[in-house]
Amino acid sequence: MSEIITDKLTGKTSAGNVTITSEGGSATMQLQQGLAKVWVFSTDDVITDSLNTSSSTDVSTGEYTITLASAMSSTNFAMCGSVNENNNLIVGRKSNTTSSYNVRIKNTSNSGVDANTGSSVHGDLA
Amino acid sequence: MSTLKADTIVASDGTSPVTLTKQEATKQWSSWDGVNNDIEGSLNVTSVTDEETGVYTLNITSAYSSQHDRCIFTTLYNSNDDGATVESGSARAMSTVVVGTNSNNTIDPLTTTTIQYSTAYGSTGQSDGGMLDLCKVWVTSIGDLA
Repeated sequence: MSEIITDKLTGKTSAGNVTITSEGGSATMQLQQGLAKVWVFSTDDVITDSLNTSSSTDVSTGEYTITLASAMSSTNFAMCGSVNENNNLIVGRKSNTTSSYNVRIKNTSNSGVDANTGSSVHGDLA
Repeated sequence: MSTLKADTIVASDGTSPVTLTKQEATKQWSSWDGVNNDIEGSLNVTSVTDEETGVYTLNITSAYSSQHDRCIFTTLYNSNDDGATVESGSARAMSTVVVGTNSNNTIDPLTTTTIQYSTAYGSTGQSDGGMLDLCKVWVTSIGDLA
């Protein structure tokens, strides 16, 4: 097996575009577009571990603002998340900018609840 | 620091995919406005078909290798109540997004090129969990492409 050891990958024609081949070999996709741009695990509003975040702010019970270190190119990114505790469910984001999104957690009575959460963001970086 | 510049990366046999050690790229993501039937942003998505109120079929451009071996994540947002996932004025529980279920509570067969999902009200003893269109539904999936 050949192996390339390098610290950085850059597109030759376009710096932000490196194409990779699918597992089955019949399709190609852009490497950058498939990478998660944010992932974060929080204990209530405190970030335990993360990628591309700078802070988490406690807005209210069951609502936190996650601020990104490197911004997205638009507000139309996809976010997914889950709650790491029983009897609570994550709702999603209340609002977002290119550099932040709000995670809201509600229980089955639709009341805000503080809880451990995990979330990730998929889309294009600026 | 060394920098490798290339437009395409493949394995040394010239065709097989290259190994990204302990990494798995997302193969599809989409931000869907179910009220205006608009794909706001996406990767590897050809279109989203509005089947009926709250029921959509997401059509994938490059197919998965299997209809089952993939992981699908969803999250939703309802602007009608400033992010709370109930309709304004209703005393219902959270709305939900479900993969593979239509309004008749039957599951359409999964295919390698489609994901069907639906969005519904929460329910109480007085109100059922009927289908509704929501302005933000995010669907992300990971698995092996064909």
